Amino acid sequence: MIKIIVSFALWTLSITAYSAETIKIGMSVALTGPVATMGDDMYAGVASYFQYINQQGGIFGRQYELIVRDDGYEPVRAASNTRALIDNEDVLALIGNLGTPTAIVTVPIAQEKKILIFGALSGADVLRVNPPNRYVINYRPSYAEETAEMVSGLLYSGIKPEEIAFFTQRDGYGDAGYKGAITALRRHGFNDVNMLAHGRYTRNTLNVEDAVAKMLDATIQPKAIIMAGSYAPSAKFIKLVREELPDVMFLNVSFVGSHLLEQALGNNVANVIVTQVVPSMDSNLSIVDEYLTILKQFFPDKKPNPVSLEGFIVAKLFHTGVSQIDGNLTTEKIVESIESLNGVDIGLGSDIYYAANDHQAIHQLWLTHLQSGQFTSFNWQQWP
Amino acid sequence: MFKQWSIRNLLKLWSLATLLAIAMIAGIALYSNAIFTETQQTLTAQVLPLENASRQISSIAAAFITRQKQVIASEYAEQLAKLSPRNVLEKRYRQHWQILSLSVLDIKNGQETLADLNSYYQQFLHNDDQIFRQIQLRHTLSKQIEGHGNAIEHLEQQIQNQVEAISGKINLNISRNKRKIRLSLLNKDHQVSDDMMLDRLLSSNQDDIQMLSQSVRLGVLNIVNLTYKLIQFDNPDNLLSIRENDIRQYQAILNVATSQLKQKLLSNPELLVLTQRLESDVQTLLAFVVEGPSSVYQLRLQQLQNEQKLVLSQQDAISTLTQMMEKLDQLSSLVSEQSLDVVTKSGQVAQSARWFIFILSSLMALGMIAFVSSISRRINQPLEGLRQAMHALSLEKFDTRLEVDTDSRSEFSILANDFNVFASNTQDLIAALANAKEALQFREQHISAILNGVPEAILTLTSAGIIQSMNHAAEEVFKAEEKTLIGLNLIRFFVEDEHIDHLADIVNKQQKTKEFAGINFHGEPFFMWLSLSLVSTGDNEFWVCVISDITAWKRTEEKLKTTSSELDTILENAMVGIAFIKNRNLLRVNHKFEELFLCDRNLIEGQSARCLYASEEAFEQLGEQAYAVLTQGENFEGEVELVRQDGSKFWCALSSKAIDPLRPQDGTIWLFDDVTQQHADQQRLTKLASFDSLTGLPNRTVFNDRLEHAIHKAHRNSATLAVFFLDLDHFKNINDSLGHRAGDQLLCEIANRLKSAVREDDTVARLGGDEFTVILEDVHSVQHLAKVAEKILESTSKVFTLDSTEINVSSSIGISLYPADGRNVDILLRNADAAMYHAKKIGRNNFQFYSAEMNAESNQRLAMETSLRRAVEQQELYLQYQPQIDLRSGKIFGAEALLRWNSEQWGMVSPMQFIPILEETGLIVIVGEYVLRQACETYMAMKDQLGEDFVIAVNLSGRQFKGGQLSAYVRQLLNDTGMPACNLELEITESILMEDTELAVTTLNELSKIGVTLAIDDFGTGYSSLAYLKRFPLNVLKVDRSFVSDVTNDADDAAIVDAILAMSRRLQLDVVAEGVETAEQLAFLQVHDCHRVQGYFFSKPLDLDDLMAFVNHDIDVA
Repeated sequence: MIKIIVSFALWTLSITAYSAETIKIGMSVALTGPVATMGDDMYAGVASYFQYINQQGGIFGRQYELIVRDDGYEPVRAASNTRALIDNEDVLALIGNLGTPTAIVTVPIAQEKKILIFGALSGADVLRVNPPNRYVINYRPSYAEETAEMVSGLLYSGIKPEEIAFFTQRDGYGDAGYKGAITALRRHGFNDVNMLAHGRYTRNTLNVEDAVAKMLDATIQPKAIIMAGSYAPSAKFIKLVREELPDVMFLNVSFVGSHLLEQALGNNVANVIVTQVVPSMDSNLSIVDEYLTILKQFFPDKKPNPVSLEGFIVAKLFHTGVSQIDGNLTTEKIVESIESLNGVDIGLGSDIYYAANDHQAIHQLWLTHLQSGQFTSFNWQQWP
Repeated sequence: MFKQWSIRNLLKLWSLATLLAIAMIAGIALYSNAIFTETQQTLTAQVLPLENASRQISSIAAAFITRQKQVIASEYAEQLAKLSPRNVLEKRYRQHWQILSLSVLDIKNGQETLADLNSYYQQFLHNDDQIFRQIQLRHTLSKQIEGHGNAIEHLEQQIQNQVEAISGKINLNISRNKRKIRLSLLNKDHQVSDDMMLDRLLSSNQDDIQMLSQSVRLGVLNIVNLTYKLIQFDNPDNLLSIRENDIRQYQAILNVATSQLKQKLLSNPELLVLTQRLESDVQTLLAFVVEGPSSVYQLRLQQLQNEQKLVLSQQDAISTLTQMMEKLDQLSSLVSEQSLDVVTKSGQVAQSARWFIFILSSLMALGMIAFVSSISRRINQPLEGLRQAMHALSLEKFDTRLEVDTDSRSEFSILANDFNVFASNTQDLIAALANAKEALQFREQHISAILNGVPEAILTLTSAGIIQSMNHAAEEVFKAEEKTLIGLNLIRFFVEDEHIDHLADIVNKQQKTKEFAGINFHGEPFFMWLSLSLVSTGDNEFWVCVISDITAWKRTEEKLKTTSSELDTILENAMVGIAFIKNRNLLRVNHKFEELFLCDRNLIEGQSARCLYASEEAFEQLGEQAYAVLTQGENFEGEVELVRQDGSKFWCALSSKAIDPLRPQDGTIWLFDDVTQQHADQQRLTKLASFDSLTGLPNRTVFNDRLEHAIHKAHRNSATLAVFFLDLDHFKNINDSLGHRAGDQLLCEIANRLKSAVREDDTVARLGGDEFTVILEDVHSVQHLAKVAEKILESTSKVFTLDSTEINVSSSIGISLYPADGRNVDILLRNADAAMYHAKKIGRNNFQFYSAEMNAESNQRLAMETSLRRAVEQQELYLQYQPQIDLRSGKIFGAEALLRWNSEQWGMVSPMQFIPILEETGLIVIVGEYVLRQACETYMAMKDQLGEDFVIAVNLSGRQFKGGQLSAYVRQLLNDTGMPACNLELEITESILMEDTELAVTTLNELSKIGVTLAIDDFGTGYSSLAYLKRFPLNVLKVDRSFVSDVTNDADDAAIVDAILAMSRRLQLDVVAEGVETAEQLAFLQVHDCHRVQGYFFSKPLDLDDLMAFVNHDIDVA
């Protein structure tokens, strides 16, 4: 960990040495605590792209300066980080922030200070109000979209609504996933949603036993469990449930961090599906190739994974917006410029459309399936 | 000396002297100026540095204080380091102090004051150090407390997570087991899904553990909250109270909860480890909060003490500084005194110089005056003498003469002589004139004194009427001063209506009257008596006028006239009849009086008042009453019936008053008012108060009155009378079910029926509610009374139709007789009441004559209470034991101790009878302790035969729980007797648990801790709440006999017993069925898994010997 922090520091220094006037961008993620690895990866993704641009000579003759702070996935620290970044560092935008409970507190601060939060790694509704908050612009689809996709897929695969159960984190993130799925079930005509087993656990703990008990107690034995948790408790949950119900399918939303889940599960790998908001590494999209090259160049020790890919895409999308600006660089200009991106191709296979009343880059999801220690693309026809 | 000197020479001498004087004055001025300059230099050298140094020191002191305030205001330790160092100030102070000490070297007391100043300064430095250290301590403590706060929050979070983990793991285990069972059942293809069985298998300690872990969670939360309070409160007593009352309480709860949790989880090593960690976290938390020398509590205490000391130090510092300032002031004043001396000295020199100059100048002025006066004297003296004499003469000093030097022949001497002759002549002439004038003045004074002494105004007028002169009285009459009035015409002082235009008009009018209406000088009217006469003296004619002011006399006369007519009007228009009576004769009456009595005043005035009364007797009686009062000087008021002149009577309110209270015989005034209507209203009200408004029957007051009256009458006639006391049976039900309106309707109907059931003369009354009474006078036989009572019962039990509902009521009647059953109202009524209760008791709808036994019955309870007290003392109370059988082993496993009373007076008394009395009187506490002790001693005595497992059950009363001493008593008793706790079972009724739950919980918990078994008695008859039972540490549940007795023939009761059994198994309670009397009941209980029974089927309660015999043989339970 110390090594990483030192390397950030060095990198930050090198940037500052380059040019007197840098483009300051802030980032508050967990670099310690149970989801530290995700924060690390997100940082690597964003930083690698910015470093790449800086190496190419920057933009408008200026260099990007990415200032990252550790919030440990704790809302209180996230809030103080955000204030410090805005007030002391004069950042123009916050990019790639991690988590829903943290977003719940940082969004109002950014709105008050009129500073952009871009491409936060959270699918919660707090970042997706309607009409959109001017200072919140997203890349990824919402958790609701993820769980809705799961519901549709499960029903398509012949699973009955009664055979679906839920495992969610007891906070805004978990609730968002649960609500999305419930809404989708209702849309499919199933209204008796309260009968479905629903286990919850407390954030930053591994107390999943209650939730497991709920699964075992269910009157109709679940065949698929939709999960919105972080990777460590999710892995524990999967292991415990599988001891009793070996055939059940576990469907995780992207936030779980598929590679971390995979590591945590060890050998217990079968029947785990994760919805992704980025293409899988085996797809032959140009952005994946670009990412693999650049990551290897700047973070040779980092293995590619969906989280750093998301960071990479977010940074590229942000840069695309910034590069359209004509004149002084201000937060307002950045927001307007990103809102005016109308059909740009950054190599995702389909074009990106933003508008003043649409702050969502994509609504597309990529399904992955954990098989023999490897996440591979998955579609519902492959359902066992 | 200078008389021979010429004026020119004199002038020369004068100039020389003046020059000399000016030279001397200049010399003196130069000298004094030199001295003044020297003084000024001295002052500058000595005083100014000292003033400056003392001002500097003041400002340094202010800097010290500012610095001290900054120290105090600092919020954390780092701020202290940033403050300017104090030694800079100290250095500056030392510099200025040195200057000071040099300045005061030769000043008296200066060194001492300076030393004082320094010692205060040292003291201040010391205080400042103290404050600095205290502030440092404050920061250290705050930081520590903040650190503790964070640690406590962290621990709390950790504990919450651990609790969650434990409860989660337990839930998971349960769910796994359930699933296993479900799967195994499915596999074996059983169609059983008996949840009861599942629960029995699985629930184990689930509820308890969940509850315990919740209470740990809550306890920790509460302690954390209390920690915040500890940090907030500023009062050590508050802190102490929070620690001792609140935190200790939760600490105890936590300790109990964690240790119980550990016990419950003994079999699960994984959870046990978690719980142990939990427990150690809880202990750490408590250590952070209250335990240990560096707990938040102790830190807060230190903090508070430090703050107190800080306040003291601050006060010290300020007072020291004040004293320093005082010393500085003293120094200044010392120096001022010193400089004042110097100034005084130079002042003295200047003063001498001034005096010298002044004397020189004065001498010069004196010389000048001497010089000028010697010249003037030579010319002016003789001229001045002549001028003065002439002037005196002009001032009528005719005796003025000039001195004449007879020898001298100078012009001045001749002139003086002629002057003297002229003056002497003039003096003689003037003296003669003065004598004549004096005589004339004397005469005039006498005349004017006479005129002014007269009260009438006397004026002299010209023939035209102009006032020429007047006396003082005239000023009074016309209200103006003489000088104003002189010259005015008399005519203007008459009112216009008098038509006086000339004096002649007055003379004409005077022949008729001498009274005139006049106006005074200010135009105010007045009445005058006026006489006018002409006086002639030779050619001169003038008028003399005499006037008296008669206004006051005139006014009095008019007022008298008005008053008299007003009084007449009032009298005639008064709304009450008014008569003036003297010697009881009507002298005068008013109009209203005529109306009231329909009489003519002309006829009645002068007649005797007797004609107003109906009879001579009434007339005399009122006279006596009224004049008795009137002669006391007071008003008489009364209400009597009077007669109009047409012979009709009416009620009249009278009020009379003597004209002269001291002499009523001189006449009295009487007021008469017709109050016939009010009188009637009053009568109606009286009647209303006496009768029941609902039924119209006499109420209790009237009833008492009439009964009293009837008793008198019966006593006189040696007759018998009877009182019936009637009460409706179950009247309350009618009220409750049909409503009060229907109830009222029923009462009215009853009243009617009662009235028609008795004779006209008999009194029927309603005492209230549904209680009615009847007085029957002239009773000749009891048979007759019985007939009347039957008639009443019959009439009241006929169908009533209330609001188209037909209902039947019955009533009970008690009868008491005068004089046999009582001789006064109270006793007769009470005995009738007692008889009525007896009637109710033996089945209602009947009547009972009173008998002495009835009284005895209510006395019996009292007597029993008395003998019970004695029974306790004389040990008439003893125990019997009813065996309890275990159906599985067929062995007796215990016995319930039951209290018995074999009274010397009453024989065997049922517990149903005497236990309530024990409860009511509080004797139960002593008796309860006796029972407990007896039971324990019995067991200990028979331990060998009864066996180690034998349980003695003892009933507890609710009274024993009061006061909270029960558990202590039981502990002591077990100690005393050596009885093992597990052999004692205490039976408690549900009502005890209901009455005072908090106390009950505490006591039961304590008892449970001691180890005695707790049983709930008569279960099913009370609240019977499962939730309720869970709150108490109960072990055994005794099913009430009422359920057991009906299990074989009442499906409901069977279901209840079944449910109770199932529930008890779930709660892990042993069940004892009471009152088992038949083999069928036994069979039912056996089938439903109730293994412990008690009842006559096996054995009634036994004396100890019989119990021992019973124990020694087995029972056939098949």
